Amino acid sequence: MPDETCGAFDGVPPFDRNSLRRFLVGVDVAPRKMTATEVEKLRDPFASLLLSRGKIPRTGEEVIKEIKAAASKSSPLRTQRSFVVGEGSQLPASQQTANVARGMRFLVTLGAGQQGPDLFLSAGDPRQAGRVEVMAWDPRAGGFNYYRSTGNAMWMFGGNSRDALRDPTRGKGAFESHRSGALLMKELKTPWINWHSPAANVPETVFRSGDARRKHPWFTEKDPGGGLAFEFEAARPAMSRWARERFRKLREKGGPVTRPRMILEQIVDTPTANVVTTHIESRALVDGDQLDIPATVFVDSEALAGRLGLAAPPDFFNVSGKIYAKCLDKFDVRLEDGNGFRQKGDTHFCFLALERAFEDQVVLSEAIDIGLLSERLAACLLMVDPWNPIFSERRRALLTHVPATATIEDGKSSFSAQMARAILKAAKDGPAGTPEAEFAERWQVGANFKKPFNRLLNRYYRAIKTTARTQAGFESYFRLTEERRQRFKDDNPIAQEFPLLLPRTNIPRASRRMQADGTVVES
Amino acid sequence: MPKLERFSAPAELSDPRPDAWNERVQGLFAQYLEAQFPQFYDPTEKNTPPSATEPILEWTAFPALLNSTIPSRTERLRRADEVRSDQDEYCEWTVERRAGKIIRVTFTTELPEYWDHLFRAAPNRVVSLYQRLVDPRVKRADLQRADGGYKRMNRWNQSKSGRIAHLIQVNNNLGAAVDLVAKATILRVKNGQPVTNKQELVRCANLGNPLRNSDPQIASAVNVAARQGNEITLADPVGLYLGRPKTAGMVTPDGTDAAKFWKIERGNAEHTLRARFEVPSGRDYEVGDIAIAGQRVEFGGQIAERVPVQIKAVIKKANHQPQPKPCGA
Repeated sequence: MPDETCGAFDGVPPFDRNSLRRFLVGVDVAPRKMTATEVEKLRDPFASLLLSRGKIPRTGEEVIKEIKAAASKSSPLRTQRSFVVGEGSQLPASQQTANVARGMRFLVTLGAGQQGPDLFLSAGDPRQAGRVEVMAWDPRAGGFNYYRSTGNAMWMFGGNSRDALRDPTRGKGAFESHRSGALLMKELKTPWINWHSPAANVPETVFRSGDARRKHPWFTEKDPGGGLAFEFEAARPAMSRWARERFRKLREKGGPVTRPRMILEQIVDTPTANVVTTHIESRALVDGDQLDIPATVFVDSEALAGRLGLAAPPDFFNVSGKIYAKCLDKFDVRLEDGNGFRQKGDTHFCFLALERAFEDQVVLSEAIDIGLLSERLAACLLMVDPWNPIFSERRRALLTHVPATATIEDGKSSFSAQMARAILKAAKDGPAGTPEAEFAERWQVGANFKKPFNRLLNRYYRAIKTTARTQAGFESYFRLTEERRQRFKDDNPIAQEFPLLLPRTNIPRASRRMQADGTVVES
Repeated sequence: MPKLERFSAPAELSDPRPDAWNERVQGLFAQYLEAQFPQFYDPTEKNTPPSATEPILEWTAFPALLNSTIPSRTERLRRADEVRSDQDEYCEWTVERRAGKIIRVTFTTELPEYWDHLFRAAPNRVVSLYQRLVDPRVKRADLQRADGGYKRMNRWNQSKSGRIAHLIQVNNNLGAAVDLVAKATILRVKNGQPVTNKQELVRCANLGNPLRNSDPQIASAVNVAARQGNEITLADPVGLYLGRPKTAGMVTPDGTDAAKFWKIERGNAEHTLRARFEVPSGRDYEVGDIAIAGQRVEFGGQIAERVPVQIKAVIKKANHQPQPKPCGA
């Protein structure tokens, strides 16, 4: 069985480093040399300014330097910014942490503007030859082209964002992490845990004394806004850019929708997730603190309230530092790097949890905007088991009713009506209590769904608020959060690649689910 | 670089009495005696070699304290716009509306100490500045205390709307920033472990509210540099400055890059003291028609969330072997 994970790039046999190979994992069994014509078809700045001209840089530093040199004087590609991220970036420098794999890496962007940078590069060391990742916008193909180097700078083209949505390559190679072909910034929101940001400095002591990275401009001249700047000026624009491009033709001209199920998977299922935390540093936690538990842990407020106009929860639910500290003790919360390092306590910012990914949120918006999905259908789908904003088996079950085809004409489609009919039929033919029956209950309130849905949501918000005030109540939420973290770890290679990303606990898996009354059930 | 000849005016603005401003800033630095704060220095008293680095410390204008204490986003945006005393990140702003829609947001990081100085040096110039920047109706009497000094909390500069002149929030001043930098050079230890994280450091050293953006950010960066034996000061021209707002993702009705709507009114691109965010005349829309993440701009705070505030430190290589102090000492 060939390795079809993102690790496949590092398992390739050596090849001539002076030519670009294509390694579309899932299609190519091994990297194959690209012809000059094929390379010329790649129109992103990495290919057009370097690779197609026979320039194959060795290191990440060379990629950036040579693209800037090749770009015209007025090109936005001359705008370079660097960012620093690492799961162990906030561990103090001490004897105990001397050998910790902190997962430090640099993100460098070239380009600027409303749509964000045109090129993103990731590397652990500016001067390392292999394990450099580049994604760069291809205006011809639409979407980002993904590149990866390995060994002594053997470069491979790993596919375009569109390949993330095609069967043979879906979820494989570069798209194991970039599930929908979008940029990945899992810690998208303030306080951007793991990133150098206004919320947490990454000092030079994350690198050992004598490590050249301490003095490298990517570090010394890193963007002072760090995660904040990356979120607003790189990540969100890049994710929106790809989503807009993905649906551009349907928006402008209509026509048949390719694989509507794939779109619905991003709306009702959890192909990936983002990481959120409170703003309270775990090392500074005191009993009197009020931890701001993000509301998105409990409800998909960005879709339900932000996009569909339903009742907004508070942005966060408070829990006392005293209650939280007891959870840390009771559940033996700790950090481990898998290599002998162990530290009692939580991640740098308390309560790392998961929320629906922004790349999926923008797809929901696009699907509504192009006329594929009616707001009513979207609301009714998302109001099935809304108490579990991620990893809901009940919502996922509804995917079986997604029509195989859909067409958009004049910004309208019969898709929503068809899908609703299919679910309603299944509800009628099936027993009570099914996800279909829950959908039918939502659907029958009619087109003016906001008031009745808001009543459900507001009742739920009140229940959460009350439960989070008690030790036992919050402990149940802590266990639920750990359940979701473990699920995320199973599904996402990035969580396995960086062992310090998630805290460890003594909480065993128990298929926990939130219920409408704010209580958590285990099975 | 030898000793700095004198502290420049903020953003190197032309100043009627530069020596007086220099003395005032020197006075702020002089409170932190070398014996107590050996790693903090006055650059007009000690050399700064060319090898010294000047890291920019940056945070966001929108008050972090509101972010972590008011659960509703709408409520905290409204509050931040309405309560100047909550704008505690060394940046303050006011909002102007027409028929309820935002037409202009004015941001300032101008130091109150500098306006004190300017009023003493050239009161009529201050009146002119107010008339140009704030309101043509401003009179000298509005700005002058009974004892002849400058009235920082004058009626024009206290407004919640209209335009403002300089910082007035109680913690937003140069003295507070200098105090913070000096005190952050002291290393801290808790339970035998070095205190390095921001909130923990601020709590341990009593450096203000750990949930603010600005002070923990400054303190942490300074403390890390001090831990390595370095000496630290603030870069000339000493002051707090605005960065360019992060406008990517702002959607304007005609597709114009919203970055063009940021106009510097005092200082320059590197040292911006005052700027406005406003759609220039000639376009058929206003700031309130711009969308951020699908939502129209209804509050100045939505812009403030994207406006960076900066201070530049100077880190001079040295070989101090600092002895950490326990929390509270």
